[in-house]
Amino acid sequence: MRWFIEKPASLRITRRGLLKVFGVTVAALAVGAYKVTDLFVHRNRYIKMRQSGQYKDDERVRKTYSLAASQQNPMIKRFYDEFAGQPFGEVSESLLHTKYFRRTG
Amino acid sequence: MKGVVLRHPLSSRIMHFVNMVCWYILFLTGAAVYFRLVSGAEAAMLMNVHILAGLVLTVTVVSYLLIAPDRVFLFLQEVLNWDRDTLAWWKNFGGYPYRFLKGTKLYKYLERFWFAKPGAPPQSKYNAGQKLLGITVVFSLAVLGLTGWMLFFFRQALGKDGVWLFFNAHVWIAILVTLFVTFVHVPLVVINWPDFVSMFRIGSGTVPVEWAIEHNPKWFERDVVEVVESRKD
Repeated sequence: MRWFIEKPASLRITRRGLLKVFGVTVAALAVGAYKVTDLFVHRNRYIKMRQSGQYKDDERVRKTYSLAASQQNPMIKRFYDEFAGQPFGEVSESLLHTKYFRRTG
Repeated sequence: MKGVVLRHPLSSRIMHFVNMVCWYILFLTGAAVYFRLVSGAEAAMLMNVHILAGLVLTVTVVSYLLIAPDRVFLFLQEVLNWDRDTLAWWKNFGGYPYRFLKGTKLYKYLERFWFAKPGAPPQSKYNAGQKLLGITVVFSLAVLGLTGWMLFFFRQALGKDGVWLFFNAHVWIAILVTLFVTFVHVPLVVINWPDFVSMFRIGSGTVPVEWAIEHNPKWFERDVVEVVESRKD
């Protein structure tokens, strides 16, 4: 019975093969790392967009009513005077504050 | 020529076996939970099994990378090497359609109208289809491992878009690759019985020389040497 085995790796790794394997590996890692870091950087996109929208609304109201500060907003004042009582009160807490918890499954 | 060629060394066979077992455990547990085939308590239990199988597979893959980096490199070099014969293989899918339709009425139509004739161009250690499978499995192992552990450890840090992307990539890549492996790789490798036996039998991972010359002539000619035993005089 004749036995055959593969030649050792040192005789089979070619210059072209080395460049090909390392090239593909580095490209895959680079694209993957870019995508993952991109996700991390933009993970709070929705929250930031909402914050930015609220600041814009506040600025528009202050400009329209010539107000010096946000808490002088007549709509906010009326909301607390006639309905919610005070900031951080029971009603405003239950309506305006949110809690972050898992909503899926 | 009588003799045998070592096709799959022990390290590769252990890696392949653990990969196969863990993959199907991961697929079955994941599919049962994703498609809501079980109750909430059962789903929680299956997810624990899923995580455990994922851990075993991850440890095995990392160990294989550390213990046999030469095998990993040669495997990658082989599956990424697409020469003229590799491309020619795709013209008639290695002659498999001719093989399957032999003896039927469709055979003469295939022979007359298909642009590639019967027979397969000479292949190296893996044929063109196996090379595509190899690239697919390496890519999917990396992506499934990354997305799975990121979802497990860093779910909050990923954000809404990240969780959506990683979860769907994890689920659908796993489903597509499992279907490909189950309905293409497994039947074809069972047809090539000596290759199947060399991977799974208890003993050496060898194939007959005649089989190697017929299926992988470029491999046998270029990458294989005969072992000459020293005589005890």
